[in-house]
Amino acid sequence: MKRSVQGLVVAILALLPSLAAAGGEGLEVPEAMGKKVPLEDLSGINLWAGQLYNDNLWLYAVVCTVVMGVVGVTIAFGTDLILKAIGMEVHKIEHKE
Amino acid sequence: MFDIYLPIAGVEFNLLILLCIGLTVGVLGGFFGVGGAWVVTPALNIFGFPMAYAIGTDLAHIFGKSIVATKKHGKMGNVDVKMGLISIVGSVIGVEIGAQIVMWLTAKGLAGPVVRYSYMALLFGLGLFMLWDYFTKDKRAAAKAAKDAAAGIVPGQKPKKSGWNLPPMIHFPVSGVTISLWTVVLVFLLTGLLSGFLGVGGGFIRMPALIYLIGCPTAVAVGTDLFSVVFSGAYGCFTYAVKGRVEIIAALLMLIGASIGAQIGVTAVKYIHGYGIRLLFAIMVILAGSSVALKQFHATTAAAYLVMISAVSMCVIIVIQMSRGFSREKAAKAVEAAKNAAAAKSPAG
Repeated sequence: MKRSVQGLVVAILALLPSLAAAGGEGLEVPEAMGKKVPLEDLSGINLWAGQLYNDNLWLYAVVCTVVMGVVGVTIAFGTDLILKAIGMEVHKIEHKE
Repeated sequence: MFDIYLPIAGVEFNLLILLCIGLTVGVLGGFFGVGGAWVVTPALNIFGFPMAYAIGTDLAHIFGKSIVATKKHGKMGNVDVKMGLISIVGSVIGVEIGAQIVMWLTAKGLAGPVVRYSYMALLFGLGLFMLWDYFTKDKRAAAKAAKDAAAGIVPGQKPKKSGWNLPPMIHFPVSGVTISLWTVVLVFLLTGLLSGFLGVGGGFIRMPALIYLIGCPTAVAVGTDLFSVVFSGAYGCFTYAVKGRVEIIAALLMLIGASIGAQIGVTAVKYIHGYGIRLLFAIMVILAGSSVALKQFHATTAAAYLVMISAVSMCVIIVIQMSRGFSREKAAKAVEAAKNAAAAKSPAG
């Protein structure tokens, strides 16, 4: 069982690119735009994002993915704690059709 | 007012619009188990968000949002991880085949119209089938009960399944289904092929396939589909960001709205049961089909407005139904508490 799950995960990692490419218009997206963000009037988080974008798009992509994942996980667990504290925690439901 | 500067896209955009779009698509995504790109892209388009960044930004926020929704669905026992993992493998292979068919059609100069008309046929066909399923469910159940009675089958006793039982058979405890592995792989291959062929994410194809072809309960179909969306969303976010097509600030703001929406959408699944979800999904799919039809007649703005108005209306319906369910549950709890209190007060014996 454990082996088959591991096999599945490896297969997913190998095949995932094609699934994401199913985004339709995504198939037609050209490679890197070669655009640079003007940094003169930027500050704070905007400046950080702009610099990252200009310096290294690969790093920018990693950061985007990690940030979205981390924010998603934080919100998922955070709201869980809040809902539990106010007594609105969800439990297993009966699957009625 | 509320305009913020988006550094990557290089435009000023209204913060509230981003939060509201996220909220709307979050409710729909959590409730129907879909990514919701078909709502976000036209909505961003209407409000003047640069289209070069729309799809990538949308995929980035879908990744985060689907984590939130999947976590909550998981807690409610609606995520079949084993099924979800197989769905990803089958879908990926199917997508490749679908994309190859499109390339073949492109070489023949037929891709555009064939894909568009197939898309419309699928949306309208699926929507109408689900409506038929909803409105005839009682009649079919009565007919089946009569047939079972005539055959001497005791109600509640499961008759032996006469389906395709080619080994290996796999049991999916969360879905409560025992089915041939080949059936499962074939179904996901087919849904993947359709999404690759039509150029769509595929959540709206997978969800009904899980219900009608695999036999999952509706809520499990929703949760399991969202589980698959986490993986495709993650890769989509990465690949678009590498191409410089993700506006990270906008994606973060949409994610905040979507996370609140997803909480509402997932919670609504607790109060709106299987067939209720199917009915609303059928209506949404038909409206999406109408929007594609409008696009076909070059009424792009009308198509975008139709999608947006439909999405917002659907959210309102979901929230109203959820509130009703919540009130009913509260009232039932109050009655139960009153009964318990009365029983405790009455003398023993």
